[in-house]
Amino acid sequence: MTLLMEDTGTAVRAGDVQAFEAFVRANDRKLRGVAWAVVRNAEQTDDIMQSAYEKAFRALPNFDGRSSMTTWLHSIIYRTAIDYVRYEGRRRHTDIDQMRNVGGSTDAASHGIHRMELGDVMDQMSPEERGTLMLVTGLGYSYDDAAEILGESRGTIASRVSRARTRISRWTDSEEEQS
Amino acid sequence: MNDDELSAFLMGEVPEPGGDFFEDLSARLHEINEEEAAAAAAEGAEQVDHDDGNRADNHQGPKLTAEDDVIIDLSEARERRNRRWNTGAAWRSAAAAVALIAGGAIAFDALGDDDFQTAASDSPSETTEQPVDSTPGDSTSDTSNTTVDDEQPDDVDITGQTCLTSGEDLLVIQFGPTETDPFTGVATIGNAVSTISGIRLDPGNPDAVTYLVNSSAIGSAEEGAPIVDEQLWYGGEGISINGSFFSEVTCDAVAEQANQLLSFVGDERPATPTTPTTIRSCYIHADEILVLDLDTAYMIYTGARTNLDSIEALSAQATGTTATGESVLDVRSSPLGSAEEDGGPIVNQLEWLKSDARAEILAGDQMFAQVESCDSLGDRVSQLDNLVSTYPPIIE
Repeated sequence: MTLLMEDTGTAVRAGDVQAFEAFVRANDRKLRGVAWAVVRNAEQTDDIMQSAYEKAFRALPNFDGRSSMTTWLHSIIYRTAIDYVRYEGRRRHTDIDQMRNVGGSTDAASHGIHRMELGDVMDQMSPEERGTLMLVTGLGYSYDDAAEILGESRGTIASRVSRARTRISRWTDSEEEQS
Repeated sequence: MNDDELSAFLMGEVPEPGGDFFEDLSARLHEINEEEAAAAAAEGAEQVDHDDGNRADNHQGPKLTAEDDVIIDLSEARERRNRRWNTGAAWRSAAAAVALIAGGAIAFDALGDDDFQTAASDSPSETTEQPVDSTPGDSTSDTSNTTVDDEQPDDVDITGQTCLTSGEDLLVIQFGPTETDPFTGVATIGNAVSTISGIRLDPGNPDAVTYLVNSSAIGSAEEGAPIVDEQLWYGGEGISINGSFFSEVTCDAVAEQANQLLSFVGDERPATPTTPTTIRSCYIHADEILVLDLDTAYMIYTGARTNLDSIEALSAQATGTTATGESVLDVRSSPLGSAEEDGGPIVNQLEWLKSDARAEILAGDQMFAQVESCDSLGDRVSQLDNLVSTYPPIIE
């Protein structure tokens, strides 16, 4: 992926539609993870990604490559998703059926995780917490990088991750007690 | 659960895109490409006209009638300023815009940076990219030594850096460097203009800056959710929010207030538009008074009513020092007149509803017009011109 970015970076920044398309196709899953984490609705995630990609494409002239393109795009996607949640008032809409049928379920299942129950835990988090958790734990960004992407302080990032992990720990503890 | 397991879960949940997602995206990107190419071509043509000293307005609105009128594209100045956010040079750009005023025409970009969503979302470079300094385009005036620079209110920058506070997911106030639109007297704060749409310098009290919350993510009076009426920044002493004074202003203090404000908001938050307008740089001119940029301003108060006859007066106004003239800048009174001042309410406000891709022009409490394009807006402004001729605004 990094190689792809480097290979296409110049063309992408030049506003080459094909290059930009190629980039987002290759990285879409990783990129949309943030939007999904925030809204947890597949259709809304598509809407957000469409909007975010359009914004990014328009803003390409402002991207000077000092950060990675994925970092830059994640910032746009997160802000778009948060805006969406705030202003559309849809953040609590979680389509259970979609959650059951979303792609890539085998990874989680293979780890023996009770998805729905953990999904419920995720639902209890704020969109910001979920987005931050996705960036740090799901995508492996450092706190500093996540802070840069989200425009927050490092302390805020750490706090959000901590809160999210605490919720999950409580859930896992509860699961262990029940078993 | 360890990090690997959690990571697998998080990424495993991510849904695949819908069936036509990439096809739709591709089509849209090509459309954007064509739009921007057309816009670039139009800009080039406009520049040629401008260079000839016979500026023909390529925008869709009515053209200027006075030969010596000049419309200033503040969106360009704003872009330059945005690239300088962290350099504190925004005021210099504002001054450059001031210096460009010639011939008496007034052009302004009302609440120019009020497009929080687009500013924040479209330009994450503000946080992920370093600002790129640039030289103002075709300004022929050296503005580096204006008083604006010297008098910029550093104290507004509370922490000296970016004071970013967050109240849950709603309120973010960023007290970064401010910029003041020299035409409206409205300053925007940092990047969080969706929360606080601007500040107004109080000519009668140079130490006070009124933070106008005309429309915000929190809500607005017009939308039934008046939360923050005003914030007053008293020099370096503190800040007043809705009458509560805070002498030691910190991010934490503001965040605490933000959290309190949240309790009032509930579900009354306004449906802040998220759909980008399709109108780009729609300039409307009404008898040398009104120019709108619908590309960026989703809430437009029709701007400055002014009798400014000198750059100095405008600069003084913008910096909050006592104005040298009798000019009044009030973004909430119409450039075409206001009920309070001349009994001739023409336009109280023009509200651009991005979500509906239309603008509403209100005259008093009455809907004057709904406009969906620059052309239709231009038609309406032509009508307004007639009204202005009949009921000229009283200039103080």
